[in-house]
Formats: sequence, C-alpha cells, structure tokens
Amino acid sequence: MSGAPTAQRLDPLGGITARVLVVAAVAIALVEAAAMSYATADQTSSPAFEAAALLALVASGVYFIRATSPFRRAFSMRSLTIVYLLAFVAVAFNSAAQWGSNVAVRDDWGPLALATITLTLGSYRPAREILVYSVLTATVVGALGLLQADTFRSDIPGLVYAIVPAVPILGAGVAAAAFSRTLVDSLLDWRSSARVGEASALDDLERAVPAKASHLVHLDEQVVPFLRVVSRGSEVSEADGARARALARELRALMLIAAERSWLERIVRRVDDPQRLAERMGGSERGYLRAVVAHLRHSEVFDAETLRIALRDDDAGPRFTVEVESRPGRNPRVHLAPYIAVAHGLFSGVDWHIAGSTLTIVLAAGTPDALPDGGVTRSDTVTEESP
Amino acid sequence: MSFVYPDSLAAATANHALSRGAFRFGMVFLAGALATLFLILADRGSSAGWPALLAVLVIAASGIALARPSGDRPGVVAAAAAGALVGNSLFAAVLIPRLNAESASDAILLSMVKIAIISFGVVVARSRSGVLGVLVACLVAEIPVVLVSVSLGRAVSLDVPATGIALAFVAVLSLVSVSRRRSRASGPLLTLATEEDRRAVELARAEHSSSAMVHDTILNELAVVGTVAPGALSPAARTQIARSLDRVTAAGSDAADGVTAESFDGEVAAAVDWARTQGLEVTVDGDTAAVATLPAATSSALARAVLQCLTNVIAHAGVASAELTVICTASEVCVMVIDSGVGFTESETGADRLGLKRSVRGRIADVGGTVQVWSAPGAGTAISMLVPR
Repeated sequence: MSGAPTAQRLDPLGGITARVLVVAAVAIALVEAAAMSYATADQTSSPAFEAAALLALVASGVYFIRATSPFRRAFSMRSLTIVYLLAFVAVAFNSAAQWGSNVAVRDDWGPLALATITLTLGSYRPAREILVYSVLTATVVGALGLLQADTFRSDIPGLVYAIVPAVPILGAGVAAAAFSRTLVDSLLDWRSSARVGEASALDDLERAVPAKASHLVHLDEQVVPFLRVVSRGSEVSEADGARARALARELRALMLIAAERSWLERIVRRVDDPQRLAERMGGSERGYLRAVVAHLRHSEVFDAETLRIALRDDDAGPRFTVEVESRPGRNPRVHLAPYIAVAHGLFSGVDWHIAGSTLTIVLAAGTPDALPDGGVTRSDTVTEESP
Repeated sequence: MSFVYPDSLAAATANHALSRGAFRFGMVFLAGALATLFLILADRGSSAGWPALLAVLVIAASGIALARPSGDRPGVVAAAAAGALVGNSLFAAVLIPRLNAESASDAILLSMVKIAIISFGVVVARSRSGVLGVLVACLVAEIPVVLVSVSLGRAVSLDVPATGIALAFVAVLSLVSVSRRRSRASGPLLTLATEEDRRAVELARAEHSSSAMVHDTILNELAVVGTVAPGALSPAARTQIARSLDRVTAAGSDAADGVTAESFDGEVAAAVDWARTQGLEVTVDGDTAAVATLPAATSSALARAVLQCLTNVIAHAGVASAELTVICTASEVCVMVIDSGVGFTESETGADRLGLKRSVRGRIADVGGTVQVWSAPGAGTAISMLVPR
C-alpha cells in the first residue's frame, strides 16, 4: 500500500500548495473542537478526558503540519498512521469525556475534527490508504455512537446515532481519496505524455543545434582557413609547417580540455568530482542541479562566488553536496522550500542544514520508490536527516 | 523529462480533483441522509414521509448530472440547480412538519442534505468559478428550508455545519489559488533548467561527433603539413586535405541526417580497404550482414570507430594483421577489432591520446553503445563495441 505513488511525490510543488490547506484545516479543527467543547461543557462528565482529547487533537495537528513541511521527506504512511492515531485518540477521549451524559450526537466535536483533517490528506497519500483509514475510523466512531444511543434525548432508532457521526468521516475520506486518485492519474498521464513529447523535442533539437560549438570555434576561425589556403596553394613553406604543428598542438589541447570538462564544470567554477560522477548523472538529477545552481546564483540571498559542489561515491553511496554562503543579514531559507521539496521527489535522501552563514544541501543519488528513473545508482542506503 | 508539473496544468488538475472529491463528499452525505430517513420512517411505520426519500433521490440525480462530462454545459448546470431546488423544497416540505416541535431549520437531516447540495456547487469548479457555484448552491440549500420553516412557524437557526462547510469550500478554492501562485514561483526556473540540460546534452553530443571527426581528419592533415618537407605538395595530399575539410564541414548535418545502411557497408568496407592499403591484413568474420540492419546514425558511428581502431593497430600494435568480428543478438550488435600486437595499459596511455576516448568511446556512447577494451602489454588488444539494434 505504501508503495503507491502519491500526488506529493509526483508533484512536490503541489504538496507545498496543499500545505496551506493543512494548516488551515488543523486551525479549523482546533477552533471547532475548542468552541464545541466549551458549548457542550454541561454534557462533559470527565473534564480530564476532555482535556486529554483536546491535547491529542493538538498533537495530531502539530505533527500533521510538521510532517507536511516541504523541508522534510514526503509524507509517509507512517506519518498518516500517527496523524490518524492521535486524532482517533482525541475522538475516543471526547466520547469518554461525555460517556453517560451526552444528550446529542451532532454537537460532538471529535468526528468533525477528524473529518476536517481527513479532507486534506488527498495531496499526500494514495486513495486506497485514505479509504481504508477513514472506513475503519468511521466504523469505530459509529460504534461509539451506537453504544451511547441510550443516553441521547431522542426517540429515533439507535443505528442513526452510528450513521450521523460516521458520515462526516466517511464523506471526508471518500472525497480525499477521489481527490488523490484524480491528481495521481493526471500526473501519471502527464509524465507518460511528457516522455513521448520529449522524444519529438529531441528530434527538433538535433536539427537545431549547430555541430560546431565551444572549442571547435578555434577550428573554424584558425585551422580550417589555414588548411584551405594550403590545399589551394602550390607549395608548402617552412612557416606553413611550423604553423601546422602549432595549430595541431592548440587544437589537441583544446580538445583534451573539452573532453575532460564535465557539464557541471561548465556551469560551476568550483567542482570537486574526482570520480567523474557528473557524467553518470541522470537527466532529472542534472536538471535539478542546474536549477539549484541557477537559483543560488541569481538569488540576492547568496554569494554566488562561494558556490561549490562536491560529488562523492563511497560506502554510503553517491552523494552530491552543494555549499554556498549567504550574504550577511539574509535568511537562506527564503524561497528554498520548492527546491528542497522537489529534491525529495528526485533523490533517495535529502539533507540540508545551515551552519552560520553556510547553506549545505546533501543529495543522495537514487530515486524514490514511486519514481523510477535513470541516474547515478546507489550502492547502499543513506539515512536522511531532516532538520 | 521535466520533473515539474506545469503551472498551466496544475490549476485545472486541482480543480478537477476538487470537483470529483466534492461530488463524492456530497453523495456520502446524501446516502447518510437517505439511510437515516429510511430508518426513522421504517421505525415509525408512517407512509406520509416517504416522498422525502424521493426528494433525496432527485437531489442525488442533480449531483450526478453535474458530475457527468456533459455537466459543464450551462443548460445542464441550470437544470441541475433547478432539480436540486425542487428536490430540496419537497424534502423540506415533507420533513419539517414531521420534526419535533423544538427542532429548527438546522436539524441534522436538513443539514446533511444542505451539505450535499453545497458540495455539488463545488463540482462546477472544474470549468467555472467554484466560489460562485458554492454561493448559488447555498441559496438552493437554504432558501426552501427557511421558507417552509417560516410558513410553519418553526424556528430559523443558523445551520452551523452547512455554513461551515460552505465557508470551508470557499476558503479552499481561494487559498489554493493564492498558495499555488506562491509555491509554483520556482516552477519556470526548474522547467527551464530541464530544457537547458536537454540542450546541453545535445550540444555535447554534437561536440563529440565534431571532435571525433576533427581527430580523424584535420589533425592528420595538420600532421602531414607539419612534417612534409618544404616545397610542392603532392596533388594526392592536396585532394586529401580538401576532402577532410569537406567532411568536417558536413559533420554537423552528417550526425543528424545519418547515412543509409548501404553507406555503412561502404564505409566499413572502405575502412577495411584503407587499412589494407596501409599494409594491414584484415580478416573479416562473423555476421557482417547484421550491421546493415542498424539505424543510420548507429552504423555511421560504428564505422568510424572501427576505422579508428584499425588506425590504432597500424600505428601502435606493431603487427601486420588484425581481425574484425561481428556478433549479433536480437537486440545488439557487437563488433570486435582484435590484434595480437604489443598491447597497452589504457590508464597509462598519454594524455594526448584522443583516439580511443573521442573516436571510439565517445562515438559509441553517443549512439547508446558501450566499449570494452581488453589489452595488456605484450598480450595484444581486443576492442569490443556493443551497440543497440
């Protein structure tokens, strides 16, 4: 179940968009819980349970907000379990607090708070997981309502007291699952069509890119004109011979420099890559590093001159370390969230930290489970250390 | 491929997903209302309330009509709104007189149906303003209940759950839009980087191709001019220089345009013939016909790599013979150039030795192939070039 793709993994920027809703949902859940708890204080037989219920809801909400941070790895099934477990504890304690003194099921805040949180899960977890969790909790919440049926001031069938609190949770779960499935399907469709489009785009580029580039300018401007003159002339002088030898040396040297220089060394001056890992990177890894370099270089927050990248492959597997100094008085975290979030979707491990004015991002090569792709392969697993 | 979902698609996809989620949310509430109503009516044994079940089904049909692909049409939207209004009016008219006297317009059954209607308002967000849809749905949900309650002298109360859900939907639709603009500000840069990388890869490929060509031709010609005695240049040498210049000039389009399978055969034959004219005895063996089945760019790159291998045998191996073997599988073709010469250690070859790096490894890598070199001092050399079919 945990291996299914999620919208957040397929579109990390969408995960950041949805986080605003997570914060809003948690805030709404806490406000409605506090307000309804106050309004139904006369039905509370155990204030201690009620306080514990509110605390459990706070814990669930805080953990949910923390776990969906773009600076952390993608929201996992373990995170979902913790959020749901804490929220369910809140619901159970809320029922326990009113056990025997509850007069109306519709003013119980537990199911509503759990439903509010459930609504925002669609961006972070697969549809099936959300459905399973919401059906299970709705069933238990319904059972709790049924068990309290005798205490309610009404003459309707007891089963109704199971349906009323279960419906919001079930509705929210079904809605979040539909949301998740639609997003994931759309994103997967886009990925497969992007791959098809990529092939045709490459064809266009092959025709558009000139064959002569960079060091070969020397060939165009110096060597070819010289040889044309020689081929059209009747004799070769001693000076021609010396010139030919000099041009051959220059051309050979330029070709060697070009052959040794990686793509990364062309965009970053300070690259430490003794194992030539840059040449083994996949397209997504290269594209990501290009974007990070462009962001760090053009951001007013960082001193681009201090940018350095080290690539290593040791017992822990291939790792790419990006380091840069921030300018005095600037906050290095500003605008960094999307890049960290995207990294979580492309690399198997992402670690970042700020020590003094130095921002360090360490990327462990290897793709997350849901995103099969090429690139530098890992020989081992790196444990991510999110700050 | 790009790893950033385009901003242009993100909004439409999210609205579509929200629309589907809201529809199912509403249907669960309607199902809950239907089940609750059924249990109560069955418990009381009264048949007067059964039309309320029909009313719920009418509202459900309106939601289904909106959720269908044709639900985007203005006529369908209007018909669905009218259907929900009629259904809700019937529901309120049947249910409210049967509620307890102290029950107000926010009774739980009324709330469940109102929440369903408000959720259906979000369904239009996939193609229209979701906020407007929610506001219209609020009116459809609330007006009949208020009118019936007032006409029966029942209390009218603010329906907190239904109002809360409506506000939540409006907040979601508004917040998502604002949040998306902020979170996707970096999207263009990320997408641009992917495009730049794609171009850089192609540029590097073009450079490999050109460099290999330069190594095979221009450097040779410069060596000839640099070592020949001053005086008249032979017509053959002059012709060779002109031919090399033409090849270099055409190199760019050559890689893209490719050559035909026949020209590959011609080139490999020419490479072998050229090596033979230099005094090298070349034995050709194996499934040579397989090379004719390779893609044009692959066969061209392979032919030139073979030429470089044979040149290396002549220049460095110290033997007068070499063997060229072709092995073919369903997906790959392997061409091996083998000699029993002096051999070498690849890592110890001079930094100025570009032949193996550029003309063999670079070219074969450019067409998705791999090169393996088996050689040791005194033990000869075998170079295997494996390319996809």
